[in-house]
Amino acid sequence: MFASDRLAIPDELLLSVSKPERYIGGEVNSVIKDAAQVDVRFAFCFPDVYEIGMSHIGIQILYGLFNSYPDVWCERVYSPWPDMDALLREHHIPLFALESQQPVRNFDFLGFTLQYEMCYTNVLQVLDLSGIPLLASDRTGEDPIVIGGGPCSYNPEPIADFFDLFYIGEGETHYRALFDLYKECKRSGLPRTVFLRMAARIPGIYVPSLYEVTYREDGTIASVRSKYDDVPAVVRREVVTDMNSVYYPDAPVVPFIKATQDRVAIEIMRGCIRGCRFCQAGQLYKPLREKSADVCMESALKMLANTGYDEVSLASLSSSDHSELPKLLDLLIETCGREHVNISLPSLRIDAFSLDVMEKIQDVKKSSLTFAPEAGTQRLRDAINKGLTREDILSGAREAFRGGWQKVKLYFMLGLPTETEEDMLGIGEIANAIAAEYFDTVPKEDRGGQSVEITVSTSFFVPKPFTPFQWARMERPEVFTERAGITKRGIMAQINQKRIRYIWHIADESLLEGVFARGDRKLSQVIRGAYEKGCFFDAWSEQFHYDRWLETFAECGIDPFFYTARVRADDEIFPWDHIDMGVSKNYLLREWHAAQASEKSANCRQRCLGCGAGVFGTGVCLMPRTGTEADHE
Amino acid sequence: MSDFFDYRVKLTKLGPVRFVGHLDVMRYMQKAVRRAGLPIRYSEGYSPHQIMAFALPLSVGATSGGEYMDISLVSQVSPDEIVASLNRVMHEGITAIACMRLPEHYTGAMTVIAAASYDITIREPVVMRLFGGEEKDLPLARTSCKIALGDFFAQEKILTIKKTKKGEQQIDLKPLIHRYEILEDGTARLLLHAGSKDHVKPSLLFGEFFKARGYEMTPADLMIHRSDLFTEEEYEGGTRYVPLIADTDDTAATGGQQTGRGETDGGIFR
Repeated sequence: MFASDRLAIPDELLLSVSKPERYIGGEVNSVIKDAAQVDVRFAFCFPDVYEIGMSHIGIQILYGLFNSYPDVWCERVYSPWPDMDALLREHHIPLFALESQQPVRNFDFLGFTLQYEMCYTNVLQVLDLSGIPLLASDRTGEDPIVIGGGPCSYNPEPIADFFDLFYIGEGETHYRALFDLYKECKRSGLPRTVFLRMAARIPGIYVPSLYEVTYREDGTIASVRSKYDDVPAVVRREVVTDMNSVYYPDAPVVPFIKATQDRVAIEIMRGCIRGCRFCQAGQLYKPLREKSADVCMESALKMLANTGYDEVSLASLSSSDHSELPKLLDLLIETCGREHVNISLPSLRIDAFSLDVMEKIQDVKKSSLTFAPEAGTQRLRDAINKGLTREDILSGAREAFRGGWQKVKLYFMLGLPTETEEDMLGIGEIANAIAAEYFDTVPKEDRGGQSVEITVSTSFFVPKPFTPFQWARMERPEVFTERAGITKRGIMAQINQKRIRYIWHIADESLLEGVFARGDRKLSQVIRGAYEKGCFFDAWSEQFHYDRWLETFAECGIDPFFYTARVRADDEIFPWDHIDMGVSKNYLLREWHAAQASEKSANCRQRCLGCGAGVFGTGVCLMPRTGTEADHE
Repeated sequence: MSDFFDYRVKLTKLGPVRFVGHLDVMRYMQKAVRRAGLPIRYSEGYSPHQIMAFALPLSVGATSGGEYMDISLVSQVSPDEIVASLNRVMHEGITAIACMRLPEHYTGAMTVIAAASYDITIREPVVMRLFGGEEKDLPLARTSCKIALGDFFAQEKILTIKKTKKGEQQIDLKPLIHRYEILEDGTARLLLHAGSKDHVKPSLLFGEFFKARGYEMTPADLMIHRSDLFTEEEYEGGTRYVPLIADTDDTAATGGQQTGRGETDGGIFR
């Protein structure tokens, strides 16, 4: 009676795991096609648990785009949670795609979106459960083509051995060409190796097996060369040039269980003008390209009608920088109020405008306001080019307190380049100043028997490729812990310390993230070794086994601190230098030097820094500049 | 006259969605109502929610031929249109099969429930394990199981221990089994007392059946289909059980599995 009642997993097993809904498919707007009528079957995997993966916009975009092609059927795969993982192994059930419930092993492609380094062992889990050889070199014509994409694929070297190819950049541009090539090769009966060789000529496609890496005696890279003349020496990131005409899904899949992002997400722009030196996303998605308010609104209405969600969220790196934000919000507020739809606006800069907006859209619920000063002193904020002054923070807080907010969250990073004890102590100082601002702004009779609550949260800075801090040393875990201690003392010494709560994250996971972020091909044996020792779901602290990782590093004879704590020379060849993000190494180096001199730089709307993204010929790069470098407009 | 219009909708839950839990079904229906464009009424207050209430949660893994949801609309829509507009936007498995307008001061679906009908089948591996004997012959095991079930339900008392807030309490389930029949294939077709008071969970009942055979049941051992929910009414000096939305003719409940037909008339147990 039901086409998909042939679930891959028997009832007895589904009833014995947590959240069986993760494995049954059949969600609203999921796509069922006739397998006999398509040429390309694509299994798209977010290598983490279902609720996390279902919250990712990127998969929803490519899922919709691929399924808009009549000859392609794209399905979804997520990492089975450890309880299901054990059952699949025990009962020899091969991992399957949700829609058809058929084994992933029989698909043409298995695509992974790589959003964070800590998911690497989960990639191996998915390959392993699918019965696909972990190493690309062991795969045959019977195996799917394993393809990676997303921010971590821009330094794909630590996982290069596990992938047949990587798609560098935004997927909307050249997947069609890849599918066409695949179909042609399949029709002509050409072997896998020939397909990969030909795929390497498609813009944005990186086939790691076609590149040879040599090392110096000190372990750093001597050279990365393509093995053949027809394989490009450098692979440039693919970029969508017109955000208003690019595909966006009208009907995203709506999970039965509550996903982490349980709402319609409208992507209002890509890229960021800010150029914060620690931020990888700010560099990876350049240049800033806006989607017009009208296009966003049309998307929102269609998606709300097709999903039934009662909340819409505007997604971008820095919503306040969208030039049509006021217009878009007016349009949304008008419709949403009528239809009982809530609006959520993450990544807003806290100023009078945004507080006014929040007042309008968030009823009277005054949840906490979040500021991300990132560093405790103005000197360090300048060094990281976080264009936020002490006065911005205090006046933002003042406005918020006037508007009735009492809870403030503050995010900082410890271990930023050039950080001194003064910067750590500065965190307590600014938190204290915000509390003082509250007592000055809100008279006692207006406090409703309550008081200001400030939460200070610090994470440990992890240097990432393609940022000015790609040359930076990362501190060792024990130093991080020490700095958290200094920060805590700094907070405790403040007059208003009773109103300030301090939380910090443990440093072990940051170390690993740091290793993989700037790692090379030698690390694939470590990732594989740790996986074989039972490491997976490393992003989940209760599943994270630091000891097993350290043990594996030792067994492989690899020092993790080579990747994190080493000082990198200005002219070092990096493992990711053959991937061209559009931002030049020269520009990043200029910014690195400026950081060491604690000098800030202009943002893209004020003055062009010549980062190189102009080659894409789109977005903010084509706009006139204000020429001023005044902080904020 | 009231400013709003209340309806009771009957739904089936069949196929893979049997693994979708009760709260998620509620969230699913809230979204379906929005997609259908029904003029649902929202509660007052600073975090308004849809006026929607479900009768009797169904356990994960069980299918159903009769789930009920009460909704309140701000304008009048014909019951047929409510069914049609929901079915236009719902995915496979959950289907609206009937709808009725409720009177102004109605009693909620949860409150009026007096009984639930079930088709319960013991899964094959468990049948084999308990009744397979040394020959491990499935037809034989099925027959033994059928006989054992018949004997079990024919007992004068079926005692069980129910855990309450005050501690453990021994109760007799037998008076709460309003009807039973063991079908040819070994399926137990039951009409069990249900609702907020003295609710009989099938797992509690079958737990006793298994316990008598030294076996501790797991939720996966039973295939449960809850065919309908009933309210109780006086009838010719006795009690009869009427589905929350009674079939007006034989075609009404097309999506659901018809149960208890032997003794019923239009789905009504007498």
